[in-house]
Amino acid sequence: MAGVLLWCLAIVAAPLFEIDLLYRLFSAICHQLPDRSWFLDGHPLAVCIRCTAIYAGFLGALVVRLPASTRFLRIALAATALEWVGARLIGDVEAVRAVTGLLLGLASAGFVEQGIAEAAARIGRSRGQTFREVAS
Amino acid sequence: MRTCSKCGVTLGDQAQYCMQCGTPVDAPRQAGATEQSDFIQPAMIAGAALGILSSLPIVNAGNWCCCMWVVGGGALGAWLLARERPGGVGAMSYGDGAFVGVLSGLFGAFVATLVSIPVRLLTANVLRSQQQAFEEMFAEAEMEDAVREMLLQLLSPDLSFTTLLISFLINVLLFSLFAMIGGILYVAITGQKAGPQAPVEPAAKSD
Repeated sequence: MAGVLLWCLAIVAAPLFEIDLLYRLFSAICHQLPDRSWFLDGHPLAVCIRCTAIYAGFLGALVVRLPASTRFLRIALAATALEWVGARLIGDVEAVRAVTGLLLGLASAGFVEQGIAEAAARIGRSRGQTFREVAS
Repeated sequence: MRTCSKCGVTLGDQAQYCMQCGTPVDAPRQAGATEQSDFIQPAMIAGAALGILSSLPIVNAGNWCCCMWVVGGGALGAWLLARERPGGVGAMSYGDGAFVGVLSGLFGAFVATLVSIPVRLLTANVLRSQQQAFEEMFAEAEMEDAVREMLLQLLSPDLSFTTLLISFLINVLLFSLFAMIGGILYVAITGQKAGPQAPVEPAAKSD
């Protein structure tokens, strides 16, 4: 959770302290278009609204210990896909983009946390083995 | 406790074959085919795919959509791994998805950095015109100077060791992270979790 918190703080810190390196880092994973971003202190956040909402939802799910649910994840993914299509066919609504992103973040966190824990346990069990043995 | 050298399932004391995948119990772990057929091969294929897609001009804009190519690459790695497993994706844990995703991301970072060298050299003129177009667009949008400079630098056709090194380090960090998420979510969406994987013990300790 500390890593996710740091990630979210970096998104907010970029505009607050005008840190170029953070903008550059996040530019690899987000278009950073100002008209699709929230602003803080007169500058756009380091990622767009959808990405901000996803990360915020992710952090929120970890904080409240939201249990992982496959059905919730499928619904959240479908909602995000529908919003993406709808934005092109009907119209782009900022609030809908944010809500679907938030849902996707909330739904993903439990699975990602569990996956990381299991992968870490696998690596922990394999001390003394070569990389090839761990990866086979 | 004895475990299958191929799928990791716990074996009975008298078992001569694994009940899940049929591998002979005494089959050597260094059997070559087994090693290559598990995590590394799917990760290399997925890494090549996500690395190439993430470094081709225009196509790489897909990563601006929640790191689509990288997350998709992690999912591709998990899918390829599931195809090789006797129980399919149902026999995979989230940890398997995470592990193959991270490996795919690491391979992808190497591939993307390597591919970006000839791509930048070949598309120098296009990049230069794109840079000018973006510069005009940024001026109209009254974008912050620091952000504008940084984005224009990324679009610069100039190739230097520093640029490549920074790109590679960013790729390693982001690709392994997002490909891992892709691998995990693929298992979560498509498969029924089989529970944490059975312990994989070193061959020396299993006797």
